[in-house]
Amino acid sequence: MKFWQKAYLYVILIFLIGFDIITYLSISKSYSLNMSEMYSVVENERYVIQSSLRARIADISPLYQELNAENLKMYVEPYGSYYKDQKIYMEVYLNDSLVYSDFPHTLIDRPELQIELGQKSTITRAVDGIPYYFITSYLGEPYSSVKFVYIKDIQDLSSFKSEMIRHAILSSIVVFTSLSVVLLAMLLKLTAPIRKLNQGAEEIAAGHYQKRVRIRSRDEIGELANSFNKMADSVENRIQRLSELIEARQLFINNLAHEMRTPLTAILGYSESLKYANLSDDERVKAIDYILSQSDRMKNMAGKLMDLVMLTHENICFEKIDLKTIITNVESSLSQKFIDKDIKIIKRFKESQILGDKDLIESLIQNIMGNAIHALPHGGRIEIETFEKEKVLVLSIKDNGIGMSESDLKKIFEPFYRTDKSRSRANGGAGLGLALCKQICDLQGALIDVTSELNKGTKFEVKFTTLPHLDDNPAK
Amino acid sequence: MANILVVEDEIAIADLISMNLKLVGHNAYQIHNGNEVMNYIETHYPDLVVLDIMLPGKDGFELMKEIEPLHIPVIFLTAKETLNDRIIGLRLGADDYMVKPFEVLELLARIETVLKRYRTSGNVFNLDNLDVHIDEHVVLLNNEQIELTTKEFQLLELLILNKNIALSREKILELVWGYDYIGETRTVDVHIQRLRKKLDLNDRIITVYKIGYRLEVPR
Repeated sequence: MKFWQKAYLYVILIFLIGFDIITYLSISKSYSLNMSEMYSVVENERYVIQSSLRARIADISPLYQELNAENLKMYVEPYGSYYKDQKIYMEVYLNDSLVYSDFPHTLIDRPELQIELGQKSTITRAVDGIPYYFITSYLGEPYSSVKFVYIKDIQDLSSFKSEMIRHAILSSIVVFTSLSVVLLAMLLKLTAPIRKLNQGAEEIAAGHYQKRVRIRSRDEIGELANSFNKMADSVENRIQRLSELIEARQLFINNLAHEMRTPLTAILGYSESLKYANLSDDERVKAIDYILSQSDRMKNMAGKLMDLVMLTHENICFEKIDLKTIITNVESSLSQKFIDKDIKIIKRFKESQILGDKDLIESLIQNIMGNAIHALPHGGRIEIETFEKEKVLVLSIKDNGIGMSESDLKKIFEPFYRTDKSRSRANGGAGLGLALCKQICDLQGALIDVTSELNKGTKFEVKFTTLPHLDDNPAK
Repeated sequence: MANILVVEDEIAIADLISMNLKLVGHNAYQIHNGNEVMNYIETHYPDLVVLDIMLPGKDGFELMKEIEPLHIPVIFLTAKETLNDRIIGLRLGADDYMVKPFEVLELLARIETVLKRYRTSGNVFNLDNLDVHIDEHVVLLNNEQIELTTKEFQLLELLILNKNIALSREKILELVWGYDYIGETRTVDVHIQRLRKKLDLNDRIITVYKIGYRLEVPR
């Protein structure tokens, strides 16, 4: 059952019970008040009648000495006929035998008559469906042999009660319906935000993570809606991050599959040719060379991939290192290439101490310098600088090579992205170098920035935040 | 013998295709950048283009739109393997779509099929005193017609299409007799013997040790 239905039922139930109890009590009270008033009125009336009857008998009886049925009947008759119009009937018994009765019904059972001398009985009972009030008493000395029964029709009074009850039921129905309408409207309005919230939750559950609930009220439901929206925000954010991650991973796998496919195709094709085809000696050498170079390319790619996969926080050690020495190492390992292309290197070192993993930083610098060499024409120039600025140690590597377009700049850190695929593939690049650099920087808590202009050159800036003389160093 | 343009930015693969095309007697020319393709096609009108999709410069789909009005057959050879790419490629008017990595024999067979569809004059292969009219199924030795059974002719056609390339007995069985043929590689040996005898090809159809048979043709 819905909340509003429950609330409706409970309120209506409690209200109706309360209303009916109160109505019943007040009707009863007013009825009993009425009754007692009626009783006293009736009692007075009876007393008046009885007294005057007795007085009349007393006036006359000394003459006759003794009462008998005839004279008693004669005395009573005028009263009887007078009060009959007022629906008051009377019976008179002399020595327990009926002398006079103007009661229109035939009575068989007479409980009201069973009284001792000097007693009085009052009984209310229905005769032929009409309620009557019976008062029976003896006339008193010296006429104690005369029993007087006063009978009053109290139909009006009891119909007053049923009228009251009918009225109460009617008003209870009216109140019930109007209350129902008001209550239902109120409950529906109060619970509308809950339904809205529920609808929102269902939509979100169905995958519409951008759905928000708009509820303006400031009550608990409004607060709930606010919290709900906050929850939806964070769910949406997380889902989005997850799906971006999955997308990036999927892209990576797709790219990887594509990158593997080319050397594989070449290796398979040339091996097949070597096995089946009638090749000349030159062609044989060429095929073998290709198999070797493509295998080498796959080996290179596998190595870089392993680096990318293995780079996690767990296996990184932070030690005090000097970029000067690392750059000198990289320079000597690339020296043959510098000589081949007649590249000039300009170095300006100021502060150069950082905390970091020596091998990773070396790999980082090697990759950036390697890219610079590829981008440089014969006789180009590389400028390397280190300096500290605002608690950050900046390593800047700048070349005056071919540069990159803006659209390339956005993508160069993506795995397998190449600015010029045929050229860098010919150079044996897997397109993973800068992706690796980015990951190294992330792990080192460093930022990597690149600015470039076509045909003017490219500048890489690595900003290390892990400096040995800073105390709030996260790496420690 | 056809002039075939190979558009492929991976030089290793472009060389591989060219090498095999030359083996079976075609002329191959390579282009590694999409921007240079139309210029070549409009001046040389090759018989067929083997086209990669992901290229520096104009990509394969763009090039296809420009090649289509010239009615030069195109076979896409690409790493893009999704159904959507295949549909786009074929809708643009390509004659075939192959996905890397590919088998060289399959590429040659598909090239031959497309060339056959576009060929106007009869396709005649000759070697020494032998003339084979492939489309007409007629074989002449010293200008005398030689009767060959259907299977013998199909075997001869296969050897000619893949001249200078060795074919394993299993491959021959598969391509001539069909996948579901339950036979022995012995059947292939018997048919090869018959061809050698009937067409005087003892020195031309050579047995390659541990591999199979190869029709050797001077290059």
